[in-house]
Amino acid sequence: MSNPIFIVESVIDGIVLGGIYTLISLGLSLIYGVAGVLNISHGDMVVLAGLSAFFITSAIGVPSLGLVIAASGIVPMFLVVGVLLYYGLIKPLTKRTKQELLIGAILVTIGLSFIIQDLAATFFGTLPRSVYIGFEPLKLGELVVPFFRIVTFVIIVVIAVFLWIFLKNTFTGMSMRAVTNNREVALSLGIPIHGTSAITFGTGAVLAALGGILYLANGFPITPFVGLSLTVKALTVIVIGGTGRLIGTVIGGVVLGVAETLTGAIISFYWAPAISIIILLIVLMIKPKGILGE
Amino acid sequence: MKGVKYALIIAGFILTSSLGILAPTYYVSLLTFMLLYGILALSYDIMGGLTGYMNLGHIIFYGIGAYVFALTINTLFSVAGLSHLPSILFPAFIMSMITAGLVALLLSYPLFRLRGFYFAVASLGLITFTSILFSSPELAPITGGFSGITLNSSVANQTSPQLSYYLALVFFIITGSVHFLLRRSKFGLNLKCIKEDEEISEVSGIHTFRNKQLALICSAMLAGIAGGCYMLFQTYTNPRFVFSIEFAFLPVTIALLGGSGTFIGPLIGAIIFTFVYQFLVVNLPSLTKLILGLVLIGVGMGASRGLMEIYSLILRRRDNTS
Repeated sequence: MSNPIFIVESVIDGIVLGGIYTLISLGLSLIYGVAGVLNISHGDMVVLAGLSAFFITSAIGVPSLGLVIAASGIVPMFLVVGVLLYYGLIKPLTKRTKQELLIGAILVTIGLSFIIQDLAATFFGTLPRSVYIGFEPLKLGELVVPFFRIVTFVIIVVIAVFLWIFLKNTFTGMSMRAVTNNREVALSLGIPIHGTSAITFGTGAVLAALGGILYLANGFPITPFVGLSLTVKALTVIVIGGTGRLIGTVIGGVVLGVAETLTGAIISFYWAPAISIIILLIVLMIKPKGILGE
Repeated sequence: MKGVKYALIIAGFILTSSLGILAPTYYVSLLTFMLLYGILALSYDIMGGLTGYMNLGHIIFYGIGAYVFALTINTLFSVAGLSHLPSILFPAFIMSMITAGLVALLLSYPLFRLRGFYFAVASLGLITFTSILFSSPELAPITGGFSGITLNSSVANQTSPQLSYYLALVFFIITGSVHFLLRRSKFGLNLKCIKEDEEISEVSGIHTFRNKQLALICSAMLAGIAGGCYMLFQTYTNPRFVFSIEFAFLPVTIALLGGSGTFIGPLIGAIIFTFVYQFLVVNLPSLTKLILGLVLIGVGMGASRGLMEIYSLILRRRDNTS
């Protein structure tokens, strides 16, 4: 158990897992910032993307090729799903007062989460699914790192940089940040609030889908019922890092990922799912504004 | 109008108390569940309806109440050798209530650093955590792990569905009265202010944290009693029953379906929901979650004051035309 090699491997696993959590959390936090709605079905989108990717991959037969094909199909689809989700379910709620919006949005997104869970369980079955990619692992002495962990890490960095450039330099990205900062002023400057919110929902869904596919491809098991706990983990990541900051979310994700894998390695795998809420409560007691908060 | 109201209350009281004796046992059980859901919805409403904090993890107090109730009874039976029913039921209910209140007190410190959506999702996460905690191998000698906890059989043999029904009825009336009195007290007014605007309440001299804390403890204690009553009624439970996410939405849905912030709303919600839910679980078990999801979306999209809104719309329309 206390083998140092094993601990180092767990930390590497944790960093990659944390990167995946970061992607998922970035989607959740973007949506919350722009549309003012915390999408509780976000984790279920991750699950849906992961499970669809699993079935596409197993239909094709070759894991690496299958995952690329699955990603190229699922990602655009989720963009559309996110936009439709906004126009169909969230936009009718936005006219309400803050309190009514909170109640309405929580019930609608939870309801959506239940529906996705039920449909996923019906169509994909309730067994845990994961994909094993048969690349040769990297060996540094006794240390063994699966090759795809490194690929995943590179993919996550590329996506994060791409997202950062998108938010800083494109008109849509700037509109998103403007709406997050001040809704009224953004509206009076002529920024289409609903259009921006819809695109944000789409972007969030894309990030969830990418997170789900990477989660699956790294051999982490997905069942139809882990969605809500993924949403809670994403929330923990956002709170740990401090709300409204990209870099905070990255740090929060890595902290949570490493904490989870280390709990699994040192204490027992039984407690790994519980660690996120423990961290959440501790961070709230000590630094309620997050690690980077002032 | 006031006379009609009192007549209705008295008629309802006579009806509910006679049903316990007259109705067949199956319906008594169903009615007991209805009352327990009603207690849960009303106690949830102290947080959700009055204070405006959606405590989606309300169900953990119910589960903790159930576990503590069973543990107290089993300990009293095996250690003190008590088996006379009233002498062990009373301390067990008190223990359930106090433990739920203490857990609420502890949780209030971290949880109230959050607001709105974050509060709701964090409280939702607590359910999974409690479920893991109660079914953990480390705590299994006390809580029974995955296989759950059973009331001592020589105590369980003395109970009957009718007893649970009447206890649930009494607790329901207590919860209803607490809810009613809270809404009319200064404390309730403070909570409503917090719901409207927390910053303004804070600057106008309301100690928002203390008020929210007290509201959470009140609602937790009532849920804890309901949990004890559930344990007495079922004599067995496990973490999958009391700490499941689907079950967690029952109080929220019931309170909002009927219309939160009122007494009659959650009651109507509980009546409708118990029978619909029972029908679904019996007849369409595989679709229950799907239909529950559709109901949640419907309630969320619809009027947030629930069925009471429709009722008051009808009243207004009638008053306008006459």
